[in-house]
Amino acid sequence: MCVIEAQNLTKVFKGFRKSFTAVDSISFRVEKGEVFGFLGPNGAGKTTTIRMISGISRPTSGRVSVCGYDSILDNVKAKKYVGLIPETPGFYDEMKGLDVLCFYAEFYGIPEVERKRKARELLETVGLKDFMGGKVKTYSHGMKKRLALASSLINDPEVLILDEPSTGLDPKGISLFRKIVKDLNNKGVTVFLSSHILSEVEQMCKRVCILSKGKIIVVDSIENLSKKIGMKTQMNVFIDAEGITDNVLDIVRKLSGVLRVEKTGTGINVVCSRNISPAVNEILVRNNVKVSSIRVTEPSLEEIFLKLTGEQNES
Amino acid sequence: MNPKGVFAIAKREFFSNLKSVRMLILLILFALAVIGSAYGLAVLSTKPEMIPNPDVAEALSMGPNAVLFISASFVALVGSIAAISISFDSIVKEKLQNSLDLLLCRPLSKREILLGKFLGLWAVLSLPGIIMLLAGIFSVTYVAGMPSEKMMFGFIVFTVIFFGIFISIQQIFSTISKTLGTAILSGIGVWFLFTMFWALIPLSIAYVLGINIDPSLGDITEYNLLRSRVDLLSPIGAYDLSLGILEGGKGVLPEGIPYWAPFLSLFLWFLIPLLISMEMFHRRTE
Repeated sequence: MCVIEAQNLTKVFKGFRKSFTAVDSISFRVEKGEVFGFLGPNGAGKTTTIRMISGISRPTSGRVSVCGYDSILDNVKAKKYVGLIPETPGFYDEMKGLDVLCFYAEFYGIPEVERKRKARELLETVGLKDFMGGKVKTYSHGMKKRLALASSLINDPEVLILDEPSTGLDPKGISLFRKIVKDLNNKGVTVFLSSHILSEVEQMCKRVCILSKGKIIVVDSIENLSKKIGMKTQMNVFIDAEGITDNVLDIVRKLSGVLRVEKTGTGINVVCSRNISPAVNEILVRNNVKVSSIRVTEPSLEEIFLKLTGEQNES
Repeated sequence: MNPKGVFAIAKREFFSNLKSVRMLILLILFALAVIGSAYGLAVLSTKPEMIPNPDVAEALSMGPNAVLFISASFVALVGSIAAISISFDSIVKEKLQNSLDLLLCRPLSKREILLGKFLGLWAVLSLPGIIMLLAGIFSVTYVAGMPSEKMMFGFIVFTVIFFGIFISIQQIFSTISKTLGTAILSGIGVWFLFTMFWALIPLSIAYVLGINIDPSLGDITEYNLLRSRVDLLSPIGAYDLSLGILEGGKGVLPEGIPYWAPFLSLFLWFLIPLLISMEMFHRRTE
């Protein structure tokens, strides 16, 4: 079942002299229960897209629906199913943490007693139990981010939209954040994750959409992207071994797929176009080289991202 | 429509402003302007010999309705400042502190968000405002006698509408401004326009058209008509003329202006800026 569906979504900001197309006719689908990664360099149009999905901003053309409700035609209904954490969330300084959540809960018609119970529960979940009576102006950026997570969950959303969730969080906070999001996802909440931290996306998402200059470059699973890009990319086989002679190096160099062989302090690094680690291992063992470890590094999401966005920029 | 959401926003605006320091300052200013002017004018109305200006002395000697009508000028002056001061940051502050997106993603329309903010601000100014106005009426009644029921009703209702007008106007500027400075400066500009410069407009038009403005040089009926017409285009003018009708009857208006025109103008001044502010907020938050 499709939870978020964008069709030819376009956003043009009109200025006095010239217009700027922030999002240029993008289409994608996010399935129920998925953790969908949304990547792109600065100014790619990620936040603009998030604002359109959340029903905050109207698309110039195209459409986006959340849980079957059109973000323009059924704006209010669509927003009932969404929980949003903006990149830099801000709150009313004079309010207490608990009051902030109760305030947001009122929009969903949650009765007063239930509101307070739920707000306390959420503040406990995000680790702000001891600060619920404190005014928001005394909160650090990380605490505000946690409060934003709590506020996005006040309506038990079907879709959780996270815009750079780890920005400003300490390692403990990041870990807690990821744990909460994973738990929610296990309960069936669909997560739309926009992040600059590619390792985070790699850890949490199965499918990603890479955006550059307002256009989608690719929407696919990380596994498929690795395969596709891996064919065109270099791969490194690091071998820690003793007794590698020049003769052995020459044999390895002649292997098909080997681009070059470099000596390292503890062994060799074979740069190749495909994974040839079994063949290299066989040669080394046959030549009485004592191999202590073999490590293969495939292209990371970071490499995929840089390659794809780089190619886009070149074109 | 999400009435619970609108109420939640209105409630937050109400309480956050009610507890603010600026509200305390405004209440003191408002008390001085409303109660002080009503009491002072009422005392003067009983002792016209103390007033150096014979026109003012004559006006005040016409009874408690006239006292209330003149004190309404002070109310308009301070009331408009109070409305601007309370609402100048209602939207721009949300933008600056990054709380706007967390509000916009809630299940209610942008127009409802603006309406909620307007209602909260209107209530926080009107409730203490009504208490001050009642205190002002009490002062006049105590010193110079009771004004007519119609006048008391108009004094309170029109003043509350007047607050709403300036709150809506300021909300437009708060929506389009990017900084708090621009927002407050725009409000001060509007205040100057309607309180200080507006009187110059009919004078300038009269000068250009060659209409006599000096009673000692002849009939100024044409100028009075022009001035009233121009005043209908200002919220302060519409407020003054509406109260003027309640104080002195339909005869206070020059011929050519129907008696309902000031009331209609006041109503439109209330409605149109509110609708514009809602539309502006809807567009500017895209």
